[in-house]
Amino acid sequence: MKSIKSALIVACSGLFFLIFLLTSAFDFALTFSGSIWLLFFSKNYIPVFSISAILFFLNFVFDYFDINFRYISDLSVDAYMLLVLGVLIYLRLKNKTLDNYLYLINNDIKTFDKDIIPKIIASIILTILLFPILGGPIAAIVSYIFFSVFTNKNNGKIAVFIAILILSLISVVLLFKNKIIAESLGIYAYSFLLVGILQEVINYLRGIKG
Amino acid sequence: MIKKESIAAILLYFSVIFIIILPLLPPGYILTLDILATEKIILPNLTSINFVFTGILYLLNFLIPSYILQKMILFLILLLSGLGMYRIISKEKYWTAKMFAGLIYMVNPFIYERLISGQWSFALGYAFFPWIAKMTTDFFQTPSNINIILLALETAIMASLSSHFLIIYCIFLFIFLIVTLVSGFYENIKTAKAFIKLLLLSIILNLNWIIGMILPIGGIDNSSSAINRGDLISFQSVADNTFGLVFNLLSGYGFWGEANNYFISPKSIFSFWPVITILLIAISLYGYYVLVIKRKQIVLGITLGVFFLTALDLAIGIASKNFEQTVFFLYEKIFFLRVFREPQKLVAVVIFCYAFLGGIGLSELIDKAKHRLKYLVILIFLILPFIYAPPILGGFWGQLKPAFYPKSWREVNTFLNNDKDNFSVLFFPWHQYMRFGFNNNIVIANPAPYFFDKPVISSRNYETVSLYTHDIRTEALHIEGLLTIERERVNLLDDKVEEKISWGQNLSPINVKYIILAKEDDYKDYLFLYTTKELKKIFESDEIILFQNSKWGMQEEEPVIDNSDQDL
Repeated sequence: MKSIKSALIVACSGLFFLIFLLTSAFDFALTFSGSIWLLFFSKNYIPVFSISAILFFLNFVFDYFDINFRYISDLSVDAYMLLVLGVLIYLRLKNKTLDNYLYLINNDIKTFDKDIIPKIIASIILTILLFPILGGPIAAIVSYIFFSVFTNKNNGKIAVFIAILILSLISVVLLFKNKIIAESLGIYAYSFLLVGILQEVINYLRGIKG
Repeated sequence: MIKKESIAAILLYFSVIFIIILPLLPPGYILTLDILATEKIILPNLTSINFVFTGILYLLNFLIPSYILQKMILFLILLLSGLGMYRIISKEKYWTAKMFAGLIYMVNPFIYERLISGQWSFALGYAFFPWIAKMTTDFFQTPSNINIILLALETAIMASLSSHFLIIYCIFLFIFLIVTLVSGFYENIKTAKAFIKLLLLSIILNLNWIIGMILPIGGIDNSSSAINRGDLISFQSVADNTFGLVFNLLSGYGFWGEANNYFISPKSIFSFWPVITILLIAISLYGYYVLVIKRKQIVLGITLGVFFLTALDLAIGIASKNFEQTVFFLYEKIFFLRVFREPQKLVAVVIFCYAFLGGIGLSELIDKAKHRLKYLVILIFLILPFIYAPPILGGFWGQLKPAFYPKSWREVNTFLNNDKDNFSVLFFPWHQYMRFGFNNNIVIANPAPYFFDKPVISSRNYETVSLYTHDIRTEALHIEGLLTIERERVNLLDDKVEEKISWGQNLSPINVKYIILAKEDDYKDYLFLYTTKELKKIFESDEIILFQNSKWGMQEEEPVIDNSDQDL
């Protein structure tokens, strides 16, 4: 459990700096990276809903009086994001949907083992290096295949899980009305779904043979 | 003691080199695109990065004519490339595999295009890279004091040879260090301590140009700071019409000069070049498999993999539309990347990987092949480099010929030297790159500022669509303006100018006493000089005309601006 937390802290911090660097929006970077942390570890959805409501109100006030802050972009987006997060935490606590899914993945492959983190990092680096050569979706798929081979597991659930994560990201991107990024993310999601299904088919056929 | 097979290798490399350079051996300078060879070698500033190497050439120039030194450098580039690569895989079982590694590193489309473009300093760095790479692997395996000293010395040599390859080497060293520390194959603390020692020693050995760079009064080419988007667009890697960009780069092509037809492309001689690329990729991948999986050299394997991909990514640069904005961002933020105005230079790393991994792969393949097939494999791979880049042979397929500067140029130089006044000479035609009749009409950088002893004002314009110039010299802008008025009757601000230019009077403030008009390129556009009264023709030959400015040295009246009605 400790390694999951450490990994997520590192990932969220990295994500925070990356988003801040790219968008110069401190609020968005904080909300987005913080949401990922809360999605996994928050045990109470009420504060999330409350902060969301406060942000909606503040956004209204700032808009009305035309107040602008440097590095603060649009508080309404943060408020929406927290609202969605609150719903997701609620679902997790009530239905254990996400936990069950993570359990399923965990059962087949020790995803958050200590040794797996360098392999994930290596796969991400490989994606970045292959991106200019092969283009985004193929680079991501090749790196995912490399990861599967490297971890010696052929688990389609991981690919499907990544696809679901990308799909949820699309909803956030659509909030910004950025259709171009949403469309390209759609290609990534589709590719991962396809690979995940293929992996599962291969596993199924192997099972029959076995 | 040198082994027999090493002597055989040296002899074979010598033979290949002579086939390449034999037609270039007669007396005369090799002048091609970026080479600026003249009788004298100028000693650079102490703070210049190439001070040591050029300083050695400067001293040698007292004994040996510069055109002979030039050929020695070409010989050295080819020999160091072949032997360095041979040496780096010297532990391989088969001599032919080692020979192949050396040959493909020495003869390939990439180095052919760089040599014929006159980028010999870069080519020296390329030739020296296998030597320093070998030293680096030795250093990480045994971080002893002697290895630290040797590697620091080699780093200083690399810096002096080529600033581009210094950066390439630093990337390689950095990746190697990170992979070594992360993998934990070696003793991390010992490696880290040795690396710090290496870093300090390297800094001390390179202190002259590092100080120059910090101040900044020299160091790595200061012009790199002026590089902008226009440069990146003008000198971006080019795609093959059929096979696209990435395959073109993987084949050692993609140099911007290809698009301008500055030289014969190997593609036009051997149209099945993609087959050779595929063969090279296949044998290199096999070599990589042998290195990482069979021999378990994980650290070197990962380092080479990351190094190869990083270099290929950067070589793609802005030519990839997906990557374009990221590249602009990276060039803006990471100052040392600006050295790679032409990112295709990084394809050198691709060739290095082919030679190194290809050699290992071939050795293993020969080992596995049965009797007759073995000979066939050896034959194919030893011939392969020559089919891949045939125009490198025979003095670059007859494109380069030794040439001397015309006698009339020397006469003009002597005449100017006899004038003891302190003045500048203006050189026309106003182009940085043009064809010179005495050099077989090959496009070259204008050698006039280096040939003539007196200060010469000549064009430094690139004249490409996206990049006209970086020249901000006041006198150059002045000439640019005068030429625009002369030709288009408008000044640089696009205002109409009706009156005729008084060239003599206008050149006097920038201390121009003489004008040289070389009878090259579009020189007929400058014949207005004949009809200008203040300019007196004092010398003319088939190659050059010299005019004297009779208004030189005459003080011009300061313009009076009436600003009495302006409030202060």
